[in-house]
Amino acid sequence: MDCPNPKRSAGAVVAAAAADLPDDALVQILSRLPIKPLCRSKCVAKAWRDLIAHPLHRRKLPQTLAGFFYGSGGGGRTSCWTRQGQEFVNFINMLWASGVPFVDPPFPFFEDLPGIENVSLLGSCNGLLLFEYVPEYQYPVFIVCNPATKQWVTVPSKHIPAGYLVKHTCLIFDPAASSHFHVVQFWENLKETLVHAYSSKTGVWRSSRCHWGSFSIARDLASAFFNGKLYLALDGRNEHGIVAWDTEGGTRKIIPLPFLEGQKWCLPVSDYVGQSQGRLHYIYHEQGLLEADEPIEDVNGFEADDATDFVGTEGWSYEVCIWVLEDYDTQQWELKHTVSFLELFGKVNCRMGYKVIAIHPDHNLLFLVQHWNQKLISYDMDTREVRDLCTLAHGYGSITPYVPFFLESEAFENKE
Amino acid sequence: MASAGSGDEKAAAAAMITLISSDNEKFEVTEATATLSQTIRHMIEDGCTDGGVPLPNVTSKILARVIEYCKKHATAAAGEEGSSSSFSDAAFLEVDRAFLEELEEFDDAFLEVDRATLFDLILAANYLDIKGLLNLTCQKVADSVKGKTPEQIREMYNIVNDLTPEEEAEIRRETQWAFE
Repeated sequence: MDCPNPKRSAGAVVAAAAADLPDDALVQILSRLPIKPLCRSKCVAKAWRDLIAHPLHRRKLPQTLAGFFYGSGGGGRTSCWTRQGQEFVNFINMLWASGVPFVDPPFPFFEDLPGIENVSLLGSCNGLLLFEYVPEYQYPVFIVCNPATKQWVTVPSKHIPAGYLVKHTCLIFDPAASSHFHVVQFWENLKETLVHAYSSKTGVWRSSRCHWGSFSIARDLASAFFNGKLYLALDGRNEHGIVAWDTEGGTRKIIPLPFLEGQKWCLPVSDYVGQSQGRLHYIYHEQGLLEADEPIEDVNGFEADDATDFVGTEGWSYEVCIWVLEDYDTQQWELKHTVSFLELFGKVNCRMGYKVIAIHPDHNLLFLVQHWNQKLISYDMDTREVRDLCTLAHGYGSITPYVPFFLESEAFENKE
Repeated sequence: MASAGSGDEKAAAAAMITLISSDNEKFEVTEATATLSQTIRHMIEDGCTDGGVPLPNVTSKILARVIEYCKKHATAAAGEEGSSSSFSDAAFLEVDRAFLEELEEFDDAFLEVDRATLFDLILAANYLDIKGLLNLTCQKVADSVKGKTPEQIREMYNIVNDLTPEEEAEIRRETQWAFE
């Protein structure tokens, strides 16, 4: 349509109606679109693009992955917030065309805290971030904040008795169900697992015992929270599972994990549990014998004794498997995708040398960190395309995906 | 209509409100019908509806349609109130279910309008703050946009693309997955 003035063109009545739809009404329409058509509609015209990005309207519109927060360091396509020269939180912006989502430091509370080096990022959930802060000579506290609204609140921690280890701490927040959040912490000793949940509504911690039999929490994992349930990978004596837990009823069920035929003996490493497009995903890698005609040497000429974190035996191949829970009730998993290390990293072996940090909530896209060169890469399951996103600085840790949430919440009402 | 006798009785007892369209046509409606609009509800609460409520943004053609919607849904609301306060045996639930189906059919038929009218209904629903009508009409437009490419949306609504090719490429690149 090259017509310079649509209002004077033929069919002007309809044209005028579309053009005259006030922002309010257009926002009402856009707010009823799922995320994909909403992203597409940014391309319709400037007015549509600007409307969708406008601070007044974006709180009513669905949001998608905007980027990643991670603790300490800097570099690449990242911006970070510093105080007295100390870098403490970095943001990797994935939506660069929409502008940097934060013009100011999104964490005003850091300004008042002595000892920023004692703050660590633990995770995020639906737009809120969870930090742990250890004041000098005092018990640690949690800080929950919304970087988009700059709201924040502190949560007192539970005193941990001797003999117990903190195995997992996470935040759960479902704005569709409640404007309040929970901080959940799992403790283990040799005999049992305890779970403690702090509710921002009641302001108190509630504790209970997890009846998981021989299962205990698997190490080095991400938990997923969606549809009101927290999903967490568990290791048993000869089995592996994912527990579905919620604040109302505790443990709902333990879903047995899927493995490829004939690979049941294999120990899953680098587990990842996440949510994409409304379904639970479980990602891990398996090793198998190389076929005789597969290349043994690495594409990049990598030699296994270059670095100590590359462990591998010649003749083994490694595959990352992406499983989807098709049905929660029947616990039916489906193998959605597999990709070899060679395709992903250009190497046959890099066991333990990488970590899956996220799966895109709206798209078949994986995000991984290669520990040997600190690169954040993405892998598109549909096109099998690998992309370098950025290089993380030394000391990077706890990289957490971030989907902004622009509504103010009463969970923070005791703070500005 | 016949299925909600209690609603009609209530309505008969209720006060009448006069709505005046932009072209000066007057519409007499019950308070139950009028208060589906939050805007009018607030005016009634503030006691400023004597002598009629002027609606300078709504033509008589559109206001007639809006009132048609509100009448139907006010009856539905009254029916719901009735069922929750009294017994709820199977027969009563059956009537409820049938009425809900009828309401859905009404809504579907109500949306059979040209695009200009649909937009005018959205504007009126937005101005009068009628949640159900706004939801219904906006969802209809959203559904028509959902499966379309930006080019198709522009064509459908006669919108000129004023984005530079660079700007458009930027948007496509940042959420490439949405365009696949």
